[in-house]
Amino acid sequence: MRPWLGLPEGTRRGTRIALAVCLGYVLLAAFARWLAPHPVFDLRSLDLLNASLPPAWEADGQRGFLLGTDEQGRDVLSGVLFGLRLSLLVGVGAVLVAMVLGVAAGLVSGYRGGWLDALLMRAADAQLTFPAILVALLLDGVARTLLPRSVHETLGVPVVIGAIALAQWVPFARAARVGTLVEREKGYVQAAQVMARPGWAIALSHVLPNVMGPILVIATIGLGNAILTEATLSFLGVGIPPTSPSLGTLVRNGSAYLPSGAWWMVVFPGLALAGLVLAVNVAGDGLRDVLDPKQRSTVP
Amino acid sequence: MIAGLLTRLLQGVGVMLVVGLLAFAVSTKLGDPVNNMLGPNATIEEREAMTHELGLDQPFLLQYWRYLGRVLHGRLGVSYRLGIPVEELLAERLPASVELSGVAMLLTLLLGVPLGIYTALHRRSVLSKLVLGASLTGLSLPTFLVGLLLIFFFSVQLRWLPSSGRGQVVAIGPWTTGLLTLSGLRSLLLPSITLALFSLALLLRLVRGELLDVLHSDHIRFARARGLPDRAIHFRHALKNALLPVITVAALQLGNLLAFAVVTETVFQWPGMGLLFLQAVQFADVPVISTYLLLAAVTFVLINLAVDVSYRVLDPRVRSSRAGS
Amino acid sequence: MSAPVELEGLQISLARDGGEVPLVEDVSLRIGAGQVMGLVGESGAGKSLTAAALIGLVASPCRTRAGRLAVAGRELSLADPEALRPLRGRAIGFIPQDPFTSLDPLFTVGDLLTETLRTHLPLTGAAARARALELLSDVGLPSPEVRFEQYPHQLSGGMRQRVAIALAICAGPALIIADECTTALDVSTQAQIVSLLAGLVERDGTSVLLITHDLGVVAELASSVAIMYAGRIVERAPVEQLLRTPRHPYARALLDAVPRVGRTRTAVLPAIPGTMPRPGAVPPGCAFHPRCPRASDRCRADRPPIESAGASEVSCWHPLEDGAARA
Repeated sequence: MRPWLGLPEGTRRGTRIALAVCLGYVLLAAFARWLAPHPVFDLRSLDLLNASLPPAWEADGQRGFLLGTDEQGRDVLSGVLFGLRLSLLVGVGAVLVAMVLGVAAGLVSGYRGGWLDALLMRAADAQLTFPAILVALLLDGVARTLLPRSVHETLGVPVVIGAIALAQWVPFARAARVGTLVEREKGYVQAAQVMARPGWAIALSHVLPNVMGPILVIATIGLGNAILTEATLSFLGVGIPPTSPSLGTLVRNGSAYLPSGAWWMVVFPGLALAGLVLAVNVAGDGLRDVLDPKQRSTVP
Repeated sequence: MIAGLLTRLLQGVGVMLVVGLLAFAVSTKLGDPVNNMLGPNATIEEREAMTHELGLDQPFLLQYWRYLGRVLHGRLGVSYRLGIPVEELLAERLPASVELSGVAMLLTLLLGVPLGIYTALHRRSVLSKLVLGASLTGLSLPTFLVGLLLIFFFSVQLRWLPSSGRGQVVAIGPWTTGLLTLSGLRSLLLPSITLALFSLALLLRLVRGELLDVLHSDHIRFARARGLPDRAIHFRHALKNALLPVITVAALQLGNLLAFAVVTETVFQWPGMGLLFLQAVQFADVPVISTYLLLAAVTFVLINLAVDVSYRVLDPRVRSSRAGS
Repeated sequence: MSAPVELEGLQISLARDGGEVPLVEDVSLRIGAGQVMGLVGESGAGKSLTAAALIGLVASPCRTRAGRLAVAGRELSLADPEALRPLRGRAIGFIPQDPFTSLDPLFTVGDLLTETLRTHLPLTGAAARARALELLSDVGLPSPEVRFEQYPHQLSGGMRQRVAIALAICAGPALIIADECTTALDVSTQAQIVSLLAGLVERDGTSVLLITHDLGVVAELASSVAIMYAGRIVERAPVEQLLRTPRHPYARALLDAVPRVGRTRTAVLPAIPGTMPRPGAVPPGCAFHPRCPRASDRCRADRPPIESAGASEVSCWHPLEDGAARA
């Protein structure tokens, strides 16, 4: 297959569709402010008369609220758009932090070797079993006891990003470490060392290009998980303060009204979330087939 | 082999001690036990007396030692939120979580392994493609959404199954089980499916991936060249080789099951440890938090140990060293 | 069991968008009963594919498009891989290349042997075990009872290869295909395996298709040899004839490139310039012409037919006469 938009050859059609969908989501989120028909955060614009309206195509629905409203009259569609933005921001942020930390750790570990390497690998082993959700819950509990409420709330987003990053750094570190070990043995590294080029320069210019493929695959797979984890934490009421709701928070709010039959408050945010993660997962799978066929679909 | 096991056991104990230290630090340094017991209006003398009585003026390591003693005797503190001893809460809630996780794990294994094998051996069949598509969806749906949707369809719309609680349970000694009553089983159905879905999808793809890998290996090719029947090649040789790494990864996934249990118990209001932990976090109920931490650590250490043992038992390469030429 | 093996007109190709790329074209071999035929060529010439086709194990996306196989008079079409199933392990035994990865690591040597024995022969329990022990000592393994209980990783490469050979001859095949079975071993172990194979041939009268890129092994073991280049056989002859008076320039060049003790120190080892063309990139006419010192316009335009002369054949427009003198 010919290269398409800079993608390597051999990318399957499903992967391309998935990547296009991801792009679509990103655009929706980026332009949420302009696309959303209603300003969801402006409390004054809410009218309780609009509360709990079903989607526009149903009997009691209204055209102005395409996907219905919640119990306070907030437009579900607008809420989803803004929630999407937050979910993407946190997800991408967490993966980036994990990538930077993990790759740095792996580079150092592989290059230096010795006790630092051993220590890092032990930490990686021990850490693998602790899931992000529990770590985040624990951190939240600790923060709640130690900090006053306002500080605790502002720290919500960084804590979630930190917890997810903590759960995801290991695969990045391992990939970077392996790449470093492979390159270290090659002649040009030793030549550069003789020429007294600093270690980090060697690492960056030689090792990084070679591990970018696997790293990208890990990042894409990690992104799906990060988004799911953030949504789950929001659903549990932990982490992101309720004033800027993510998709998980929307589902949490809507779940109370599910028994009475108001399904739209749960289904639309949920589907938006599932669609995004599905697209990311399919894209990740496809990218893996092209960039790093040795890996398998090991979703953490 | 024994030496290896002993080292692992010691490592496990070491990890437990460290985690215990963490749990202890959390339980004493966070929150104020004295304040919790006496209330904000206590006098300074009363505070000092209580501090002395609780042993909080002793050196840190001594306190830790006594804490370990208490834990090993099953005295885990008193819940801030509910005012009852944590041990009692444990006894009450643990059976619910164990049954839920147990049934979910059973579903995962009973469906995941056969489906994984099928999709590996029949790559082009329509059923395989359906199953793989479904598994990808299963990995993309958040657990809470699955639970809510199941509740919506089966409880709210169809009214076939209950949406919360354990139903009727039977007490057997200290244990309470919902497996012996119809209402208990009906209550277990939706939560266990919800909990199992993600792990099921994961295990399925894992088994499939490993099996496909093994089917391309040299020794399988040689087995074919020797004229062995397909059944022997697939199930005797390929499957055995494929399941070995699956066990490790699958067991490590049990950690995820613990995390998802928190979500599932929340959605279904299932009275288990997960829901207890969540409520403890929201309330800053430190004794419960630290106990849960200890429990989680014990579970992980045991799982790791079990995986290690099973690997040693199942893989002859780990068991013995080269006996020479 | 000894019987003649005849392969005729084997074609294997790879389906790629745009058409089929030929990988093995018009390969025919005739191996007499009890004869060892060497199949020699560079990596990628199609030797292993040919071997795989004989037992129907050509892996997709490659496909056997044509070919006839007759073992002891019984005829089979190679285009239907499933029809070849009954041959595997019975009429045709296969010795794989890499002894380190060819044995299932989770089974003992004894398990592997008895399993194969039970598949092909009506042996069970103690009888199977006894036969397995016999086979292990036939292939020269010391203390067979000990080996029987051991796992592959507990054996050296040479020993594992002996086990593989035992597995291949379990059911007394008429033909053994040895697919580069000495390549992964060190020189002294190679020699042992080669003499083991020679012994088996002599004792049982089995035919052997010896696939290798090592002319030395061929010289020692084979009675006739076929040389493959870019998916075709370019020369086939009795081994002494080929070694002394090769007719195809490629065969000549291969022989010249073999290092020999006694050469003067200043002599440069003649390497063949250029590389063998990859499938799909084969030039028109004779595939060897870009590297051939004797190439003419005819070689560049038309593919030379196979000229048979008794027990030998060659595919060349300008075959060498009486071979050039060796350096």
